[in-house]
Amino acid sequence: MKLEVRGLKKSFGEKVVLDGVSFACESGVATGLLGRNGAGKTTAIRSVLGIISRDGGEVLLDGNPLPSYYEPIGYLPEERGLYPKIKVSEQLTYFATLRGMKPRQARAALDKWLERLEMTEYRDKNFETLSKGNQQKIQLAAALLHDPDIIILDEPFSGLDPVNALLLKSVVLELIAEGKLLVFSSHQMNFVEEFCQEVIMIHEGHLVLQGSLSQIKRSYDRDRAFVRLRRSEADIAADLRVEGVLDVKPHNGGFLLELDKEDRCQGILKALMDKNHDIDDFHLVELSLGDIFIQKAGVAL
Amino acid sequence: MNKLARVIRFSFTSQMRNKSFIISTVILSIIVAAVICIPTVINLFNKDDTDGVEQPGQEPQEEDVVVIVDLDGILFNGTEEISAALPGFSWRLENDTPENLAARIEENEIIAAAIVRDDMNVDVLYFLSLNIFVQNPAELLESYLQNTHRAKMLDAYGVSGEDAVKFFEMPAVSVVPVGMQYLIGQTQSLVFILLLYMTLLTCGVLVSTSVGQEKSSRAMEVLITTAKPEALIFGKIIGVGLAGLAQMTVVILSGVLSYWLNRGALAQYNIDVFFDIPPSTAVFAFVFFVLGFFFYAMIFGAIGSLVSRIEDLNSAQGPIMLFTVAGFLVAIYGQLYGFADSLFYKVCSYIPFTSPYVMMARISGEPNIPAAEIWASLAVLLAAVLLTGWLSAKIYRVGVLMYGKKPSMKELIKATRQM
Repeated sequence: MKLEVRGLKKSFGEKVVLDGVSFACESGVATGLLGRNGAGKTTAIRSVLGIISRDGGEVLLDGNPLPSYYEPIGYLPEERGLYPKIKVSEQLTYFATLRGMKPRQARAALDKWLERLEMTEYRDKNFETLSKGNQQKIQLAAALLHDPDIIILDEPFSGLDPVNALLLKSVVLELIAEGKLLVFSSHQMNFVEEFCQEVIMIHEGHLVLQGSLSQIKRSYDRDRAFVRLRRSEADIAADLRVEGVLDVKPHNGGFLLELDKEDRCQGILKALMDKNHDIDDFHLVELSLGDIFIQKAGVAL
Repeated sequence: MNKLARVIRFSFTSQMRNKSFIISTVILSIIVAAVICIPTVINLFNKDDTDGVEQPGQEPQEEDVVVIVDLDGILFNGTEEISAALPGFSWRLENDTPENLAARIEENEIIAAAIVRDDMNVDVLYFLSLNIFVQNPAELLESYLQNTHRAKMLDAYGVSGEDAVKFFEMPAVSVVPVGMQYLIGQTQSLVFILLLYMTLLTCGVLVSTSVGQEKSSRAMEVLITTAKPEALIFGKIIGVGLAGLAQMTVVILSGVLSYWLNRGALAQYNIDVFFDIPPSTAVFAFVFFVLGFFFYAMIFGAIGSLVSRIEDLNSAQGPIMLFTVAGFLVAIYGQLYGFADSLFYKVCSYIPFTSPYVMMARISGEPNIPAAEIWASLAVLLAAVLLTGWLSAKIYRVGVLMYGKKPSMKELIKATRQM
């Protein structure tokens, strides 16, 4: 399956939120939708789903317009909340049947997902009695219960503790392995970095970055190396200025070496070893997605 | 259609399981049953009272004293006759001045006094009690004096006892009410108006609260991607409406049951005739009830979709509440204060906000209402229901995702055009 968004436009009054955003996502690949707060991530998702009207552009599923109220879509909205005074099991089956499931199938899927998310004990509890993190897991179940082909999660990790984040991570990896088309928005770069093969970055209504994560990373300069020696006193800095090193700065208990050109690490490591330094750590410094994000979107930072 | 059915089912069951809904149903049923039981309870107490007096061996209560000043025995003679004329009072012959007697009455020593001046002039003084259950001694004295005078006169003219009875014989008149239709119809329509009013208020608020909760709890954003807004809002209205009707049914059943249990005590009020509703009236009542409900429920639903927080709902409901109450008042006052045949009332029976109330009142109250008028009113109401249904679905679609401040009418129109 291929979900294609072409020239998406949306304004609220005078404010242009999306100004011709195009991207594509495919089954079996997790796509991360990145952007600062207010960049237009949620608006993009809502326009794709038809929750809000589009001012321009089209959304295609395998080349055809995405039908409205398309059933095999799972959606976790950014604004969390379900019916507060209704039992978890009742509302989950309700949502699943609205998505075209038979009640019997829905109940079976309910048991499966509650178990998978370690929520079986809350089956007959009212939604409002659950903690915030548990409520979020129930909402995730609501998005996944009907076994959708397309899964759109808006900020799925916000509000989860590390254990639950790990659980969600394993669920997401399973979904990718099952060949689902998965899009999720986030401003938490570490999660995106961990399992998104593809990233899309929106900034001020424009697409500023798109492509496979590894390629994007490779496209940035690889001209810095980090080294930590057993003896990392400041006076040793001058000793690290071997051929090809332009500058040495203390960094994180070690030193950051600025190289005169890319791919010089091998030679420098060799030179340092020849000087008989006890090397604890030596690696090429790649830009993290967070750094890229800040570069692209964090003008003020 | 399938989705509509699912929304109806979910709305209905979750409403029926709502604790405050159950509690209010129980309280309403108890109130209705209690009101119907009132005559029985009153009878119970009355019976206790008479039982108490008739019980042998009980000390008679201290009776109020009536003083009679008739030194020459002109009008008051014959101990037995006087006692019979003053049941529940004791009496004695005395000689006292009117001033003294008045003072004694004021001091509560005696209750009344009759001072005979001559055979045609008697002064009666008495203590006026505002308690309507207390016998007025002045009236008793007056009727005694009339009877005594009459007997004396008959005697003087030599009319025998048998002939005297004939003087006072009356032709037997049996009174049969025949022309009560208007009053019965009126009462039926009052009951109908009240029932519709209660349903609109309770169910209307239920619908808008339910939609408002869906929005404020943010369950809406998922819902709106699963089904058409028409299915969501109509399903909600029908589901909650059915729950409201179930509540009404329970309340009415409680009323019918307590009526049946108390039928002995209620028999004297002859209220059976009010249940004698012509079938055509019943059918029209049902149709107007359902359409009226939908007309108002659509508006209530749309209002619920406009508020971001459930606390804002009360003020947002204000205008439509006014219409609900106004329709009720117009219909009720028209019946009670007799402007039911005015042009104003007729016009109101076509305006959708008032027609469910007023037309129903006219149908059961006006025996000769032209059928064309009924059908015309029905057509206008039906058109209004369709229009508000269409509009509500639009407003709902736009409103449910508008958070923050309540949208102005202008913004709303603009937004509905965009959808």
